Amino acid sequence: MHYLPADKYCGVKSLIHNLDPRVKIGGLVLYILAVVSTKPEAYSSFLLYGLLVFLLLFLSKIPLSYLLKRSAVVIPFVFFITLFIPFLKEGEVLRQFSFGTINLSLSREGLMIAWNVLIKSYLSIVVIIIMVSSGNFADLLKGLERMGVPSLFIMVISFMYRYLFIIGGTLTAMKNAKDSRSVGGARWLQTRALGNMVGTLFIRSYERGEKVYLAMCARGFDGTVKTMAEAKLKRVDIIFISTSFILLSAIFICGRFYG
Amino acid sequence: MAEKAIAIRGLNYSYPDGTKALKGITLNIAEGESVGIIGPNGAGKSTLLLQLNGILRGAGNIKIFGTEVEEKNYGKIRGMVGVVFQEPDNQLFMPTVFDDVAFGPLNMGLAKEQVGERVEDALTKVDMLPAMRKTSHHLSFGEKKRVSVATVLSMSPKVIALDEPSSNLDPKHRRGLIDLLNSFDMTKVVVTHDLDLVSKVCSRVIIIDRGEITADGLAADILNDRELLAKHDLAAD
Repeated sequence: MHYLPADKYCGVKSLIHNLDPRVKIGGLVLYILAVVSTKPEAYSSFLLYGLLVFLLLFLSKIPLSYLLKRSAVVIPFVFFITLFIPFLKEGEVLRQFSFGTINLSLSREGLMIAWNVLIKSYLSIVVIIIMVSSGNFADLLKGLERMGVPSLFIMVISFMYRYLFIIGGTLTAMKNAKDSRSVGGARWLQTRALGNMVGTLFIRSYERGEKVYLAMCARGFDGTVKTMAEAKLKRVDIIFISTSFILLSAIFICGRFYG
Repeated sequence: MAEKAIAIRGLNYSYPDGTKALKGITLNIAEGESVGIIGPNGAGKSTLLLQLNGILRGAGNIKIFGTEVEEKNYGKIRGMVGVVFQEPDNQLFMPTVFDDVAFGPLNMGLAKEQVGERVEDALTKVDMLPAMRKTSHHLSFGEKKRVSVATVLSMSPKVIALDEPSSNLDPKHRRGLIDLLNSFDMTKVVVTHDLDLVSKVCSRVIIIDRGEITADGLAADILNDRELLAKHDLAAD
């Protein structure tokens, strides 16, 4: 039995877990659109968007520590991209630093851009994490499919999700077999063995693919993917998406006028 | 005599590298029969199994309830012959148990309500209904095996063909599988090394060695013929 980190809270029962995946995806898109189109100076709007995150977190019964841990994986990338912007952008200089021949100046405009990128990406990331973690990945795929994403594309993602662990398991088994027989020897020999393992892993995955295809054919697969679309939107779905829309519009509009 | 469920005439098959896997197999299996195919490793048992629904094609003639196994009949044949593969991770490829069990019936073009009923029915038979919404990599090996059987049951096949159904199962799950197989009344073909399973599930046994049928008879007779079993590397001591 294997669980992705994102699957950890998929079985919890909460209002958010109970939502139709289409509503979740729709709400997520609305949220991201609202956040990215808010002016960077509208600080109070960002505060309100942040409060919405806490509200979502509370409703979904996902612990804050989990959210912080998951987001810590993604945010450093954004951070390093934004790190240099305040020094590269020209504008009103706030402070000068000089290291020997190198002169760095911190500009207000650059700082504003960095803040803008950081806050917007972080808010988006945490909401994505809540939405993905609060339910089955398979349901999320179903939602995407019902929203018109081509079924072939969905099939590829679902295969990836399904076989990730199996390929990982194959790799672990090969590594264990290698380690059991690696008694001393030069480091480069071990590195070479690793190269061979990658090759073997590729061939095994390829063969696995062939076998899965045969198993699909054996159950009548003829090249077209057929799935069951089911369930209508519930009342709670409609209420959730309308409330989200109203709240987000309100925050967005406030940001326009009072930011 | 009951209707012929499977009729194989002069079947030959070679692997792409030229190795002969099956040589002149001729075989009749009657409707409702439960046949165990045993033989040493590499004898061609699994290869024979995959010929039954046209996954592998050799030279010769195979008919399932009178319908010839050929490309234009694949849809019909695969609805009649359900193959349960040895490795459940190959058999279960959809994101949830429900989708996997529904995969066959949907391909058969059944209406949505009917598919839903079939899925529930098949999962109830293998006692896996509570796992319907689960992802298959969240299941234990024994559970995956049972769901694999359900993916085929949902197609209501007239013949169920299983490749090493008891491999890697612990004794308890193996016993459960034997009871499950005994509860099915369709024609059964079981390829296995597990002679005890054969004795409990099958009434007839066929020994295949080096691609040829070397014995065919009542399970009780063949499984008690120690000399014959030893000759084909099937005796444990």
